[in-house]
Amino acid sequence: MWKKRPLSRFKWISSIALLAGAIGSAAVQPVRLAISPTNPLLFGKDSRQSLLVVAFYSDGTSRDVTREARFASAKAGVATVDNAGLVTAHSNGGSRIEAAYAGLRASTTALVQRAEAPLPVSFAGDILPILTKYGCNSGSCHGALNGQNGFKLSLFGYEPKNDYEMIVHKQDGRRLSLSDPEKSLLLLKPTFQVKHGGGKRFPKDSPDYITLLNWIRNGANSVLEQERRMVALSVNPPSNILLGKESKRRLLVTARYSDGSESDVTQLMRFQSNDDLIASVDPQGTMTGLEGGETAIVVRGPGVTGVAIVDVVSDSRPVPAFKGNNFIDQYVIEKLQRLHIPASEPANDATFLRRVFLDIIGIIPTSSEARQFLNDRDTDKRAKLVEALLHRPEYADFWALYWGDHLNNTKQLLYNKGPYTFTIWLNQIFRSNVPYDKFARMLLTSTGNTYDAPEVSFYPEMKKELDRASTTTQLFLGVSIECARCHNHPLEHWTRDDFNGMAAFFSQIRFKEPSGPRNNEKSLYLDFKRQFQHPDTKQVYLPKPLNGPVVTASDDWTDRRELLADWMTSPNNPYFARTLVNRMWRNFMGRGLVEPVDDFRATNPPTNAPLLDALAKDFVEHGYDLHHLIRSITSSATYQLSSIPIDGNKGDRMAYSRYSPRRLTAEQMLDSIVLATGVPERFRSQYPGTRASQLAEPEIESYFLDVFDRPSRQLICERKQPPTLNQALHLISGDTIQKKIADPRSSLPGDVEEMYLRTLSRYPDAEERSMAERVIAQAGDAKRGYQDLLWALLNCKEFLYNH
Amino acid sequence: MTSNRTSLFGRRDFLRIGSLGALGISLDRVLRAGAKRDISCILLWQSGGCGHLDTFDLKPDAPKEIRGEFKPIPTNVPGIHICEHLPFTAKQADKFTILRSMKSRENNHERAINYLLTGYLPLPTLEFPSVGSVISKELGSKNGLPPYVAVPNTFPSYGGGYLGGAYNPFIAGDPNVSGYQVRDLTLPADVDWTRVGNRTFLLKQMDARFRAIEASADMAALDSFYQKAYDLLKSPAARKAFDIGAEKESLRERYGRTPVGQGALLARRLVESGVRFVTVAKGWLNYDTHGDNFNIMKKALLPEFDSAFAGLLEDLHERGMLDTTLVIAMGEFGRTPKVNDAAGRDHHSKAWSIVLAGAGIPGGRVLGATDKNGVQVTDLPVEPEDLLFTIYTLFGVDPTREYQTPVGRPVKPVNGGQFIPGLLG
Repeated sequence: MWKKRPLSRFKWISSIALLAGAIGSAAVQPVRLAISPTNPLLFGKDSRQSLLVVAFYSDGTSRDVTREARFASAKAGVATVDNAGLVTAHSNGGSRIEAAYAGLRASTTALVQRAEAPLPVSFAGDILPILTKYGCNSGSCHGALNGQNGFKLSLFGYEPKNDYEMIVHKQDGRRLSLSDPEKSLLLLKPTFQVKHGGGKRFPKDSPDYITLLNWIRNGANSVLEQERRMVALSVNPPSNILLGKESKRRLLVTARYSDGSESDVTQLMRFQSNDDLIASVDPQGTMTGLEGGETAIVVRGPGVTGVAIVDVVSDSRPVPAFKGNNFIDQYVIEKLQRLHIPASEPANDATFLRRVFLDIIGIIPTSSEARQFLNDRDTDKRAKLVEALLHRPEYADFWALYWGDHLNNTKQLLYNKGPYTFTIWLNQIFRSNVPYDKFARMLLTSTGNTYDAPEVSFYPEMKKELDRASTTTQLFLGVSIECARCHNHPLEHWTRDDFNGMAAFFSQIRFKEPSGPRNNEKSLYLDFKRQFQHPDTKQVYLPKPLNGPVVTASDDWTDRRELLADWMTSPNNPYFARTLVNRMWRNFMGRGLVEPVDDFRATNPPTNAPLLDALAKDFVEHGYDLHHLIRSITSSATYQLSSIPIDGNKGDRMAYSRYSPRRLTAEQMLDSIVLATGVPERFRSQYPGTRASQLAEPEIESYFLDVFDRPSRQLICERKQPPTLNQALHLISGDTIQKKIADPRSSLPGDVEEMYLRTLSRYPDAEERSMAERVIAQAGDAKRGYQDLLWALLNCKEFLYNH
Repeated sequence: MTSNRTSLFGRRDFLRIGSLGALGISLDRVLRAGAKRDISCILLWQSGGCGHLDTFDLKPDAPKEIRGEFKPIPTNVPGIHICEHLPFTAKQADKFTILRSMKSRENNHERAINYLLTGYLPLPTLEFPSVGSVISKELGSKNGLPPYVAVPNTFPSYGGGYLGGAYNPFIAGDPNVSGYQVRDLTLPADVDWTRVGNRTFLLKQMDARFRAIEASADMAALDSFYQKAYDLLKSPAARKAFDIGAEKESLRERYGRTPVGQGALLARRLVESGVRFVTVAKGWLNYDTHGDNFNIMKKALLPEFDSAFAGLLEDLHERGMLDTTLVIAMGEFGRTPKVNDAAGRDHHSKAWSIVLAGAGIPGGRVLGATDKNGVQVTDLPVEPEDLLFTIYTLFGVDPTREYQTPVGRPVKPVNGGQFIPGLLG
């Protein structure tokens, strides 16, 4: 649903299904040979198709043996095949092509049509792909908004008409020399025969050079309306397993054109890996497996994209399943087993305790809560703990904070009281566990005075329709449509029309000042008749959701945003639920199934699509209940895995073979330090005892929070939290920790066990106890000794990180 | 300025620039791509937008409701007049260039600041790095000091954006407070190096047990920052760089005992010690004089700025540092020529003035012009893209180079722009 379906005509028997059993080493016999693509279509005389031959072995592995196979064509008059498996079309008809290797045979039939003559060179179909392949029309070169040096092409070739004009006609056609084609700038520049800011893109007399040259020689004609252009790509094989590091597999790419023809365009495509550490791909489309994991290879042509999923298995040993608790584990285990990545051990009670406190309510437990949990014999205690956390007041604060970060809750956008009323409202939402679809609808369809109806804060007055479209799609639909503000999205099929269609939902929003200009109070009302006009072109757009038809209201008094909310919260909406469960997954697991969490696209597939689908479906079926989602995630065995790597999963970053440790957020850190030391932090003009997670706006002064990456909330993005020098200095000699340690109220208990429980939420072991006691004795002054111990406990990674 | 935003490094544009060399600086040499220059920058940030009719672009012949209450005075450069409330600055006019033709499209503070500091209009989905972050990434610092320092604090759009927090500035605090010491740069009173030793030992033991889990680049980075922090704490050079108390009293008086005055002095010290980029900000929106503009300007803002700016130029000149230090004073936009009912001026981004000095920029000139009321630019419009393009070029940083955002999108440090024509003579 994220992209156009690949050509169903090309069925590739995936090697996934065949992976089973132990893998031996020497003298394994191939038992079967297969040719791909099955029954390729070739259009036009001299058109060509590469073949891929794969051998399957008795141990279940497979290998690309194209270079070693021998080929033959039954009807050479129709089509011939060379030693490399390249088929060339000569006349209409079919010819059986056979490959032989190691005593095995496989065959396929090449079907040739329209072979009376070579297919006419199409600007969009044959020339533009070359410009795309070599990056000429990429965003950093001539595809930039203003082009380079006056030569501007559409980004990745999505506007062939303009590109043709630019190349052939603009500036008196200086880029082409029809009388002396080899002297055309279009050829001299990329071959660096004259100075070219982009360097040498391809050599003179290379096949692509020849294509361009011949096109110019033939007059550089184009009747764009009659030409074929690429409309879809099919990548073979669409999913792959690469066994062992350094194993290779070629991809074949077939394009389908607007005239129904097809062609092997492997040599014309631009290839890119989504994760170069797992698998790389070379410009010819050959993948190399590097590290165990799953990623996607993205294939790009002018205006079209394709994706191949690749699993790299770097360890030959299969892995056992761990004991699963719910449906989540089923999908995670399946992926881990396919990738041969073992899961770490289950986390112990102390680890689970601290982890779940931080992930659900944003603060560590007290020492007595820790003792109580650790000593509890109830086998159900973990689930009961989660339940208790869901109903604590800190829960509402923590999630109001999360959503405050994502809803621009700052005085810079919501004036004066705005953040305060909004925070109170958010707090109520989470305290009463309002279903998520209702929450979204309340925000989207809000009207009234921002102070009386704080949900109106979803619409900061200064933002206009296009910005609202951008943030709404980013926040609720996980789609970064911003690129499409100015041009079609380079990596997805979103167009400017999609962007403008979404913006039109917000056209009716108006603001007035109810109490006079000085009060900064704003009231949102609707002008039902108002249309959305693009600020630059002045064109009027009607409301149209992503991938959906234009929405018409039943009468003149319909709030368009209600229609948007209807579409978004419909159980069939492919984005809404998936986006939320992905965000929540990221909160608990450290990495979304789709990363970044607001960049869902066909060329950025989830690392576990069935899991994402299942989570979303379960969420919708349970009425968008956030508590239910949190229960599901935290009760899974996957969530409860230890973060300690074992042999075979140290490099895993995407399959959830272990919990992913991450630094506490600024608020988690400060609140936990306050809790552990017993010394509250004072915030200006806030009630004493206010926690950092309760601060309504990021403008409330706190060096500690700022230095640890408290967001300004002017943008919606996830916290990056890079380590900095100021942080280190602050932890070492800054007053936040130092004052709390030295404060008499921190009532150092003089008890190593209590100190460990207060900070690390666990009992110290014998070695730790004796080390601590040694250091305290050495300090001379017991009080100073305990202060030093407390300092170390608050600075150690085990405290600063959620593990 | 033509609207064709072409790269300076293209052949055709090179021919348009023309020759110079009046001050021994050839544009050619300066702009040789890849040749980074060992210079620094001090940015005096007039937060809130500084009224150009009240500072560097007075219109004494305009009607009273436009020209306001201030009169022009001559400077030490014949033909150049500035506001009467900038007397010290007037004596340093031979050192700076007044650019009267800044313009931008943003009248909103946050958006205008973002635009001016990052060279991009703000996007909701991508945070662009500020000029200070890019410069500090490209050139680093000397003597182990942080390359980018914010005095007293940061302000919106200050940071590393998609380049990452590692390029955020080091926050210096307000050097005007008595007994000023940079934040956390000295050990707490009751913690000596022996205690630091005990604590570090304990910490290492605890972290060793945790090491099995690490495998995180961030944890390793944090460790290295602890080490850098200890080095900084131990380093006499760093302590010295921030030790504004070591400056002669008379010099401190000359700059002015104000946050901006002492901030500018600290900036000079830092640049001298190897810091690459220092911002000195006047509060937050202090220049945003929607009401009582003339009193606020003449009593508070201008005297503070005057001593600081003039003091800085004179001091840099005396120390022979002006050639290697780029000094910029600006705010995110100007203020309306027409005075409002509250005797204030409102936001005006169609035209405003900034001042540039050092790094080879000749002084004693005015570039650009506005109409008779200071409303529109009439000559040499310079937009934020052009300013940043110019700054990067002066540093020898290629403004057309690309960075990769975390999503893999290639982005340049500035969205086009070209070198301010005539800036170097």
